[in-house]
Amino acid sequence: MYRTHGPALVRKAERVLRSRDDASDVVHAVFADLLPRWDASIDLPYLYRAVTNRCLNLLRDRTTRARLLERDHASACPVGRVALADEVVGVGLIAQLVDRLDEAHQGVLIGRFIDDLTQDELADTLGVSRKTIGKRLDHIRDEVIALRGEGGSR
Amino acid sequence: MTAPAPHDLACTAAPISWPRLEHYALAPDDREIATHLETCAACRRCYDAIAADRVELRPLVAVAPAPAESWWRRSRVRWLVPVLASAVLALVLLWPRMATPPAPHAMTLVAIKGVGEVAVELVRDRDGAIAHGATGFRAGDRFELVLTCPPAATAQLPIAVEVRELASGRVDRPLPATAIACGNGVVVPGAFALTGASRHRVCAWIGDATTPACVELAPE
Repeated sequence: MYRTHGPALVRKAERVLRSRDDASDVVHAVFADLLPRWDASIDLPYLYRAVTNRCLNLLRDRTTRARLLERDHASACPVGRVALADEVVGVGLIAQLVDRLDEAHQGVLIGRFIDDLTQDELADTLGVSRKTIGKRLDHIRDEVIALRGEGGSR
Repeated sequence: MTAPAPHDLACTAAPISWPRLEHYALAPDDREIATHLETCAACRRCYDAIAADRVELRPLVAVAPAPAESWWRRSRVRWLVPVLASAVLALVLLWPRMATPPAPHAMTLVAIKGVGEVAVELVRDRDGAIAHGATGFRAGDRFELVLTCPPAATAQLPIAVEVRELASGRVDRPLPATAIACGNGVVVPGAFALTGASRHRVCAWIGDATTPACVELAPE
């Protein structure tokens, strides 16, 4: 599992964190934690969620967040094919949103704008209705607009 | 991984998600994705980035799994186990005492004017085993006299101990006369032993009492 899917998980973490080293650490930590209690319920979707959560935890940590943003400042030009309110989501925007969104919305944020999942895929992955996904996306857009408003008013 | 797709490179339709592209990179068996990649430069670039990427995984050291926990360790009521065990143990230990009446605790009360009630009992030391309110004796036992009286009754309470062997009438005064301050379980200084094979009566003359407080001891 680690050899087969580890690289995909590292790339996923790297898309969030914009750092290969941190991404490798995240994936290694996820597997190291799971290894002693590994069972059949741990599948690839589970691992994707675990990596997402660990990345977001890193971004919640102010020290790590500052380091990631400073070291990878050039990558503020983000990677992605799905834009959020005319903005492609990168580590800078995720770092700002992670404090404003609850876990459910963070999952949608990463799934939609980092993994580029469709709304139907998101609904299947998260086990909620497509309508719920739509509402969560609306809320995320509202938060981004609010962020821009706060930035513009400074 | 090289930057796969600048954001100005738009997908021609709905982008193929990264997890699907990753799966396709491992097992290229999805015709829909194959067709899409032929026409969409954005997704093609992402797929090529995956295909060209080489990830060096950190070594993952397999650690021995912890022993499987038994059901009661996982259970939320596991804390009840030691509590219940202690309760059962206490019940087993205390049951004989609860089921049978306690042995007579030889304690004599004597009323003394100006002092109030004074309780007198003998404490026996038999090879280290201490028995309060003893009523029997063997050779080698040692006895102490213990008094309990209201602490503020008087500063010092004179006391004299007299031991009489009932069969012979022989009287002994094994402890020197003394005075004690009242309190709870005050030990009269000194200890004594009994000899012979007949009953003994130990009497304490306390203060101004006209009758002594006595305890009888039978040979065992």
